[in-house]
Amino acid sequence: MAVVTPVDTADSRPIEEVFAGDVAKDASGAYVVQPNKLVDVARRLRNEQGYTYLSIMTAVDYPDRLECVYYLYPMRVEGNTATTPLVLKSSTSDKDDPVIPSVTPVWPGANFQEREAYDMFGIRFAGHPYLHRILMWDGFEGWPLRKDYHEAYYEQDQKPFGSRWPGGHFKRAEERNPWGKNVVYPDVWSPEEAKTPKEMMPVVDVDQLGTIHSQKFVINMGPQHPSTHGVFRMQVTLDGETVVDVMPVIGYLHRNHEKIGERNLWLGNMPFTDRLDYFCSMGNNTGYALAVERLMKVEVPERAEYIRIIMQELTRVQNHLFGIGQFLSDLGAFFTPILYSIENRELILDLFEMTSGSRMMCNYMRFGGCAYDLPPEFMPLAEDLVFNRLPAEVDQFEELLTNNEILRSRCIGVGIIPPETAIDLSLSGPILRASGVKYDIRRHEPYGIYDRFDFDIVMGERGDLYDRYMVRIGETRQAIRILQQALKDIPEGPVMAGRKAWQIRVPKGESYGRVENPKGETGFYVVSDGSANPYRYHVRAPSFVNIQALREMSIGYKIADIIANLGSIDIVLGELDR
Amino acid sequence: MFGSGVLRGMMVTLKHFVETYTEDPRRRAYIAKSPDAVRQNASNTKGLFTVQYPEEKLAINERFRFFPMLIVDGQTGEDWCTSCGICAKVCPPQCIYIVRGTKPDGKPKPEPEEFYIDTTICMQCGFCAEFCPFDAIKMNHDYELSVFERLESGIYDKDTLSVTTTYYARTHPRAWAEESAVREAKEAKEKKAAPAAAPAAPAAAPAKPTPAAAPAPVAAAGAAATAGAEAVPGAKPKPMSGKMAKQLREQAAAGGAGAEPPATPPPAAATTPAEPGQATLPSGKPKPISGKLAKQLREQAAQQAAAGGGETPPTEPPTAAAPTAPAPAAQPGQELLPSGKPKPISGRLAKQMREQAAQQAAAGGAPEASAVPPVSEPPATPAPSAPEAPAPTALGQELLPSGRPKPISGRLAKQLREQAAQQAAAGGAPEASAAPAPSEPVVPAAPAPSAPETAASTAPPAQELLPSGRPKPISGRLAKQMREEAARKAAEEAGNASASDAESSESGAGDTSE
Repeated sequence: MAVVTPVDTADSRPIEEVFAGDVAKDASGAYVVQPNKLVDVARRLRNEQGYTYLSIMTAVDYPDRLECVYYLYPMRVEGNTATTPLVLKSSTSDKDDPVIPSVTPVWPGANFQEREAYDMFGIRFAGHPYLHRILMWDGFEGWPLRKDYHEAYYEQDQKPFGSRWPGGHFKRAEERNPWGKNVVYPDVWSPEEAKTPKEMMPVVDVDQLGTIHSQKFVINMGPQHPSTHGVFRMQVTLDGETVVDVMPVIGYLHRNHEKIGERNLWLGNMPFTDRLDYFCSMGNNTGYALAVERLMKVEVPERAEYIRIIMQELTRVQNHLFGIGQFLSDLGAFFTPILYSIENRELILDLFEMTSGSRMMCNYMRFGGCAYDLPPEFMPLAEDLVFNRLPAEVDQFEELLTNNEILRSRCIGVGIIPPETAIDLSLSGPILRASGVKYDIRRHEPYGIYDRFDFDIVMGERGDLYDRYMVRIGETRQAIRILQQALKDIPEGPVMAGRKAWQIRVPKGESYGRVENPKGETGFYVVSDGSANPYRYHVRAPSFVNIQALREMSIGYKIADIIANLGSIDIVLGELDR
Repeated sequence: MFGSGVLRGMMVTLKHFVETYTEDPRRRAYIAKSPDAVRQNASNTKGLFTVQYPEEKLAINERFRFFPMLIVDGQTGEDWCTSCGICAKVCPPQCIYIVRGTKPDGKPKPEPEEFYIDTTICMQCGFCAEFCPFDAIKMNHDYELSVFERLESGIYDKDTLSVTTTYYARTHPRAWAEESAVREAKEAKEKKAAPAAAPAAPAAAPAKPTPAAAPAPVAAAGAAATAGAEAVPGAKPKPMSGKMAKQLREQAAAGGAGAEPPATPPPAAATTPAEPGQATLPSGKPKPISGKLAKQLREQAAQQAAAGGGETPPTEPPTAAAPTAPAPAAQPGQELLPSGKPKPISGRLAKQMREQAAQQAAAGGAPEASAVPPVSEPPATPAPSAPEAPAPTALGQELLPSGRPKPISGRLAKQLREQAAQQAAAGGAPEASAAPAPSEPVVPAAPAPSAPETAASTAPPAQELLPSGRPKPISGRLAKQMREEAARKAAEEAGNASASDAESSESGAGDTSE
């Protein structure tokens, strides 16, 4: 694996010395940076200390300030093997016109996350290449995640609400809506103007190619067409059939998950995390539980740890098989591979259902363990599945697809992402490893008991579509390997630390819990003010960050490859738009 | 060789194709063994994988959660819910709404007077069931809940949500066993603490036979055939939910196919009741039957007619019957249930009772049943068929003007009917012929006596107790479960044939968990 060497290793002084006066460490160990020095500090951290990977960037609305938070990890560098993140913070107290410099020149992967912070908090990121709303529409007025923003059906700041049905009988929110049909236009926007769509793409120019007069033109793919995945739109600029530019347009499924999360009780967010990446609700549950457990400092019982591993790896198997099936659907192999994968997925979902009560919306993890113990029929069925059926099924999948000449000619050499670009774009999951970056959270920042299991990190070499397919196949095999170990070793014992409680006291503080979900790094950033509800609840969704690679991997290829590229990212709109 | 990869892939699909022929007979045979509970696993799923719903259904895992349900004690008919409100607080989308009950003296009573769940926003997370300290709310397995509109039928009231402990014990055997063990351990502890209290409780039990649940069937049987005529057709407070209607339809279908001609009675009830019901339900909440319900009723009636051969006007048959039943119940309840918990029988129950009566009648003698419908005067018919019946009707009439007694819900009525049918079947054909009458000695023995009393008791107290004007109807589901329970008991005791009312009631009391 190629390694990036820090540019200037001679100057190894910590940043608080280099930028004395502008950088200070706060109680939690995070570096608080003055906004005007933020980019300098960021550049130094990246180039000289090896923090090449910006995992998460978000903002928090405190009563006295708007604060941006950055979690940085070293990746592919010499001399920095830190497994814990370096946290960078920068805040502004001007809430009317908050400006913070953009870090996109240092970490291009901050692009979408800064746009989201702008969209939700109104923070303007100076120097951002394209600072527009991303989840809400351009005419939207207000900054939804600010604490003083009240949405259309606003009831109370925190659940439990006094009464959802005042007056002695139920009443639906729709019926109480003062605007009747929930249509209120902001002052700056009128429906008349909106009839002419605003040009969002760079100006399309006409040029000459040789002797042929050709014209670049913009086409909209979606919001339905790429919707083998969901409601998603791409603005594609074409020169003939060659892709010149791609801009994903998202937010059609936006429901302000994070605002809902701030209203909910701590526990009440658990079933909502199911709805993010609805293929991987077990992983989402675990990520959220991890974040809160870190604040609460709860130890998870041994058996519960094993159950979590089993559930997450089962999730990985079914997600990857289904993801490959969908990828093949995008390539035109309609519908044989996906049906073969659905068969196995059904069997796995059966296991989820008998354990948690639901096939997809599992709502299974709790702070300090799992909701229920495994039912007695689980182990025989799971063992039969994991030891006998799944390995053979993966073999069959490979026989069906891997050497297929059509598949290879469509995939090999298409949609290449070089490793440096992958890191710059903050990609994660199979798409990052397919580019040859050996990074897996289960290995590099082990959570739960992943450090006890023997498995390989599967990597690609070229970073093209075929590598992503192969990485997913390989990870499925590794997941089965972990499952076999876990099913063999799982001990008896309790599955919850202490009693189940719905009123949970979470000490003040903030934490970031991240898990290696099948689609990438799913992280939950929570801030507690000691009350019954989270003060801030942010989801780092792998689909949201990974979709940035679509432009990178599509430019220069043909339009037919765009859909294949999209399929290889394996997005789920539930977490992309959240 | 170029193309070999494609060819090898094609071999995989060919293998699958062949397996659909070689493996399918084996798999079909396996599925045919239990088409209602297909369990797919790693070793039996080759070939065609699809389960042919609705002919075949996947087995339901015990933990499977759909919408919540409220547990009602099968013996006493009391809610386990104490309206503590934890479920409403922990509910992430905040879809639970509870009105706490009040005692006559105005003090809060540990029982919900109203309980609503807005299933249109319920996210089926199961927190309410998980954190209920009284095991009073659980997640139901019933997932076939299609309705034709989403707003009205999406709000589940207490009536719709309630199920009996028996139902819960059947759908969740493991959880039931665990929770029962915990409860018994707790009770044992309490008994140790206060040994004196224990004896008192049992003594009380016989005195007050099971209130609403068990008796309901009997009353319904008698009333349905006879008194049913007077019930209010349109007065039914809440439109029947789609679920109930569906059940009714199924039941009707089942009745038509399997049992004796039960069809006739229900129509009878339907025809007669319309006028009285209106009068009886001054409660001021007479919702007209919704179009859907009406349609379902019509279908049901048609099915029944087809099955039983009865000619009933399909228009409003079931509903009418329903109201009748409650009325009778109400009177006895007045005397017996001064306890302050008078639950009027809802229209749904009434309907079910009617149906039950019809079945009984059918079992006992088709001719009588057929006669019933046309009879415009309720008293005449009831007398012959069911001795007890007439009394209830009279009482019911008096009681209903009070405006409080809701008719027995249709679902309950259906359940009652089914129960009656089962009882009839269990009791033996010869006895069954007497059907209406036999209800006393055979099955109903336990319920029958209790029923009139209980019903009567409910009404008077209800007036006094529920000035709120919202008497709690027994839910259809609950009623059904009670009926089934009663039927089972009856079947057991039918063998002995010696079961007296008292005995049966006692036995019934004994066998519920609490």
